Amino acid sequence: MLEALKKTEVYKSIFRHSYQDTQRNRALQIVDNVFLHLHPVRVPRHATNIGYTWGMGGITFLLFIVLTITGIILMFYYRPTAQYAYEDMKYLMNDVPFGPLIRNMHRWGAHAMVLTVMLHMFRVFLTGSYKPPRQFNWVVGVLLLVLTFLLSFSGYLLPWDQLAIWAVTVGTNMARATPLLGHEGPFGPQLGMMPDNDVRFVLLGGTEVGPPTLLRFYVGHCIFLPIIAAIFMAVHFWRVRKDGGISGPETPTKN
Amino acid sequence: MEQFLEILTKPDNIPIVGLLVSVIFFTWFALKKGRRNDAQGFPVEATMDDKVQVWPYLVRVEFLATIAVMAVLLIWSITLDAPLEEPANRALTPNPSKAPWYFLGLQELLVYFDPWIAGVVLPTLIIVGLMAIPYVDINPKGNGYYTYKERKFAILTFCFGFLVLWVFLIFLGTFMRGPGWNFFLPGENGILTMWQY
Repeated sequence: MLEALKKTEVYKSIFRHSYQDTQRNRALQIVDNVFLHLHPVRVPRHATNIGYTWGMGGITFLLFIVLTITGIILMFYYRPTAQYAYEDMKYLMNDVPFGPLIRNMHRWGAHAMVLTVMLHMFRVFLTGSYKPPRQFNWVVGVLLLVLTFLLSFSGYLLPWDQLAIWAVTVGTNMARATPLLGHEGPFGPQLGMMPDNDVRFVLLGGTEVGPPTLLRFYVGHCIFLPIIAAIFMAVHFWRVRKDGGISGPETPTKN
Repeated sequence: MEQFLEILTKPDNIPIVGLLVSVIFFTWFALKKGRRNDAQGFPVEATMDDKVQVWPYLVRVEFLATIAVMAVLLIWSITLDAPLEEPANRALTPNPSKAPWYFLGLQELLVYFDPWIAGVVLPTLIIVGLMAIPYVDINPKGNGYYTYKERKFAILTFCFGFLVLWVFLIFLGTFMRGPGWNFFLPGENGILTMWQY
């Protein structure tokens, strides 16, 4: 039965090679698979050693995927308006099947992602992996760190509870003091910055954290920032390959 | 002490405990590996440069790591509910109001600097400074393996910035700042129960 299935045109059109354990099939397994072909076919053995890599970059990517999926599910139950947001959260936590689980995974996954990004960066520093030829990928990585903070921060506001509104108030109050662009920053007033036209106003859509802020942060959190982050992630992964794969010591055999 | 444990195990503070534990562990772990490499005169990674096939040797590790992470995340999410507080109310300011945990280091700096320095200039400098690292640190040694001896200055500087100015200030901001952003030692009578976040 299975053998007959394997001979059909449909099966052969999907699976291009047999599963027999040969060098060639092992290579094809990577190259012929859109999800796996991000990898090289072969890597130095230390790349598979978790003591060297800590696995934090990969885990960060995994958490990003988890957050995307749980985030999309949450979007079905959440309306980003001051009138409904909190009610929807209550509904989600009390009445939606598996609602609390999905929300918890999103919340804890987000915390964990901030943590794993930091640890990934720490590992890359300690192994000197930002050194030539990988300098620029470190810069991309720093941008991804900033994007992770912004994603987490914009998500913080969405539950629209006391924790959310005040954490974001504290965070965005800094923008008042932006030099030149904030109404309490150096040279801000001289340039005509007021509470209702400075950089914080643009960020919040008002002079304080209110309903327009909620909508702004929602769109930023669900659409703008993930797309930007995905683009930079594509560059980051591509550069890992282009810069010679995982970092490693110069070895006598190479010289 | 009980109150300290209470703050320690507040659902939103779990990641900070995780941060402390993992940072301490990984610092120790990396330095141990570095010192071993330094002592034997060549990096152990150089002895592992023979090529292995990604399928199955790397994919297997990724697969197991995925299962482990998903298991931890699921158990964490089943056992611990994300908090949902009272509805947003502009008229009711909690004291202290704290930024999200990863910004607490910056909030801590507000005590010592003007807002435009602590809130805008320093974060910008941190980001730009991080990006500049590969172009400033032109020491060619220590590329792709753990070492301490060959890049003492770089490692000490980064560890000071990351461990003291970032992680420790987050710890301080979470566990030792109470109402009015005043300084409290864990365990002082009655203070800890007032801590909101």
